[in-house]
This record gives sequence, C-alpha cells and structure tokens, in this order.
Amino acid sequence: MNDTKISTQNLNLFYGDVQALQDISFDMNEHSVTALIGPSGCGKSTFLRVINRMNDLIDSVKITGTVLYNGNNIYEGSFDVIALRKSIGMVFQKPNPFPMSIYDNVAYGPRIHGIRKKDELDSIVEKSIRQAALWDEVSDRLNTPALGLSGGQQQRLCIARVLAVEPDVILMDEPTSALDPISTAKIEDLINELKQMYTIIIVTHNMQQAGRISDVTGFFLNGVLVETGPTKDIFFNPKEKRTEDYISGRFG
Amino acid sequence: MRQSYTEKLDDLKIEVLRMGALVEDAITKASYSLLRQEVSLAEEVLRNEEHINKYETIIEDKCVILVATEQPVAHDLRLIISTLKSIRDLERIGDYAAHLASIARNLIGGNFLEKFSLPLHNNIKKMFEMCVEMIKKTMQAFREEDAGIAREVMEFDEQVDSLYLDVFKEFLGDMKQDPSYAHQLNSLIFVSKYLERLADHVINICEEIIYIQTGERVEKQN
Ligand SMILES: Nc1ncnc2c1ncn2[C@@H]1O[C@H](COP(=O)(O)OP(=O)(O)O)[C@@H](O)[C@H]1O
Ligand SMILES: [Mg+2]
Repeated sequence: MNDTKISTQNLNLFYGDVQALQDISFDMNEHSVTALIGPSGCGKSTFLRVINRMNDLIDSVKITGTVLYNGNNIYEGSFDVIALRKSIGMVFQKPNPFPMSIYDNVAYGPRIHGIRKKDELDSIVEKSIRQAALWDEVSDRLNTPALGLSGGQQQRLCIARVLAVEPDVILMDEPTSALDPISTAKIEDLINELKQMYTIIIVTHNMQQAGRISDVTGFFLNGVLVETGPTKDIFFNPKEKRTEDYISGRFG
Repeated sequence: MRQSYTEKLDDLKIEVLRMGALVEDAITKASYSLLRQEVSLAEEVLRNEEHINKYETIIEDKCVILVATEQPVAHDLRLIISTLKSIRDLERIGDYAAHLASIARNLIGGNFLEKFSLPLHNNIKKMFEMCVEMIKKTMQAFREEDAGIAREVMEFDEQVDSLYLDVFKEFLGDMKQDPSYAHQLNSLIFVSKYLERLADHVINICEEIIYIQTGERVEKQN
C-alpha cells in the first residue's frame, strides 16, 4: 500500500535565472492523498507541473535532479511524454470544461486516444461521470452544454474528464478554491473515494481541507520543501517552527 | 498576523493563571487556618470556592469558542485541549481547599494542636507547604510553558505520598496515647488524605503542560 509512486530527488527548477524550486526530495505514495501547502508563489504549482512535465511548455524552464514515476526517470530523453500526461491527469483551480456537451467533454480524451465505437465511449462516459459522483445530476442531459452546469458540477465534470483516460495519478491545483462549501464537500468526498484507485497530489490553500483529506502533507516556503510528514503530525505537532507558524496562520 | 487570535490565546492563559492564583491562595489560607487556628481564613476559603468554580465555566466557554471560530492547530490546539483538562483539576484542587478549610473551622477552638505529637504536626505542615509549592511552580510552568519545571514538580509526588504514610503511622501512635482526641485525629487523617489527592491533581496539570510544549503524553505512573 505504501509504495512510492512519485519520487523527486534533489530537484531544482529555474525560470531563467530565478530559482523556483530548491533541492526538493519528496516521495509520494500510491493510493494516498498528498497535500501541498504553503503561501502563494512558493512553488506549489510549479512542483505539480514538474510531475507531468507541463513545465516543458515554458521555454525558460531549466530542471536539474531526478523525478521518478514508478521508478522511471521522466526527464530521461527517451521517456514517452504523451503517455505520461495520460497517466498523470490534472485538475485546475478554475473548472475549465470545453465549450461542448457534457458527453463530449468526457469523451474527448478517449477519442484522442483512438476510441471511436459509440457503445465503448458510452460506457467510458457513464463510468467516469459516475466515478466523479456527478451521474445522478446530469444523466438526463448529457447532450446539453457543459457550461450550463454549476461551478461545482463543472469541476466534477473536469475530474470525470481526467478519469476517462484511465490515469494513475491525479494532480489537483486548488480544485475547490472557486467553489462553495457544499460543492467543496462533494469534491472532498470524491477525493476520498478516488484514492482507493488513484494517487492524488493536491495543492490547497485551505488548511482544514489539507487536514481533512490528505494522508501526507508537504509544506513549501520560497521554493523549499520545509517539512513533510503524516498530515496528523503536521497539524498536531509539526517539527519546524515555520510550519507551525504557517498552519496556525501566524505568518508574514 | 492573526493578532486578535493571538490575543485570545494569551487571554485564555491569563484566565488560567488567575484561576491558579485563586487556588494557590485557597490552599495557603486553608493551611494557615488550620495550623494557626484562624477561623476567618477558613471562612474566606469557603466563600471563594464559588469564585473558582465560576472561572472553570468562563474558561471552558472561551475554549469552546476558540475551537469553533478559530480552527486552532498544533501548539494552539494542544494548549486549548490541555487547558480544558487542567481547569477540571484546578477546580478539584479548589474543592479540596474548601474541604480542608471546613475541617479547620470545625477543629478550631479546642487547642487540639497541642495534643498532637510534634512529628505529626510537622509532617502535616510539610505536606501543606509542599502542595502550595507544587501549585506555585506548576502555574509558573504553565505560564512559561516549561516542561522542565513541570517535570520537577512531578518529582514531588513521591515525597507527598511518603509524608502521607508517615502521617498515618504517627496518627496511629497518637491515637494510642490519647484516644479522647480520636475525632480530631481522624480529621487530620482526612487533611493528609486530601493533600495527597490534591497533589495528584497538580501532577495531572504538569502532564498537560508537558503535552502542550512537546506534544508527547507522559506515561501515567502509579
Ligand atoms: N511561467 C513562469 N515564468 C516565470 N516565473 C514563474 C512562472 N510561473 C511561476 N513563476 C514564479 O515561480 C514562483 C512560484 O510560482 P508558483 O509555482 O505558481 O507558486 P504557487 O503555486 O505556490 O503559488 C513564483 O515566484 C512565480 O512568480
Ligand atoms: Mg499555484
């Protein structure tokens, strides 16, 4: 159960001359939820993007160190980036459904990966939307525009979209910060369900959320991973004063 | 940052220290009322008991509100949880002070102290002094969140227990000497029993202080 899914070793990341991540060594376990916390601009999103090589899209980025996914170095020349992005899905802060129907949003990924048969797509779409705990709310209007859904529903649709390509790891960057408490609670319940099958790494600004949903927490500050540990230890008895100050809101 | 939150936590600690000061005062006065035969002090202790009880309610409410509104974590959460537990102990210590005061009030007048053997008299006095010292240091440890001081106080526990056993032996001796004072001597046994129990409650608070500072539970020893 506690096998390492993602491991970074002495990871450094530069945007041009500016170093955004410093010497980060962090193991993230399979079938668990890892929360990344820390003040804005400390490198959480950057770290998340390292894991599925989204930073490749930014020209100025330079990376040193090692990032292992299932024990393989994803920054090795021969590594299949397309396959990596399929295995490691991402959910963003603002729900970003495509301007198409609910059905087409979820079928989008599988279609790109070559699935064409209607009944096969139908079953993937239903399964994914069910897994995202959205089925009961949308099953009778799959062909209506996704943009007609509420913010919370849109975010669960985005999760369904990620699930449809059968990922292994799901990265979430503040997935509930634009949602109301009820929608947030639904997403949190969902995360709790999903961790049985997936590995989840989530950035959150909500300390209580990190406390509620994660197994392990990592605290970032100015590009440095200050402390990691079981979430209950981080919130009840952190080792570092800086962690204590941050989680109790005494920072700055 | 979070200035009002920090102030609320400071205020909580100050309230606990005030309650502790009242409790310390009560034990000191109960001790003088008995050993110096001053009935007015005993009455003062009995009047103040209600005051100590009120503090318990006030502090408990503050803890609940802090938890409900401020989402305390880490040290702050430990402080609040341990405060909730410690005020129960302080309240119990206050009760014992009141019991001691009412025993003192009942015993005053008969010049009975002269009838005790010197060792018995001295040991009761020592127990009182030790308990007052323990509370004083415990409140200092709480104020400074100093687990080291709390551990020092815990060392007293054995001494209080052995004084209690000494008192018991001396009591049996005195009883043989002059059984006509059986009632008063009996009361003294209660005095030492209450002091021994009181010290146990002080130790509980010390365990909480260690927990606040370190997050570690002290093994209960019997
Ligand atoms: N594309 C980019 N180009 C240059 N600097 C960037 C870029 N993205 C982020 N940064 C910088 O890197 C640092 C970390 O940012 P980010 O990872 O977004 O932090 P967080 O997610 O913790 O708020 C910040 O100083 C930010 O300005
Ligand atoms: Mg970010």
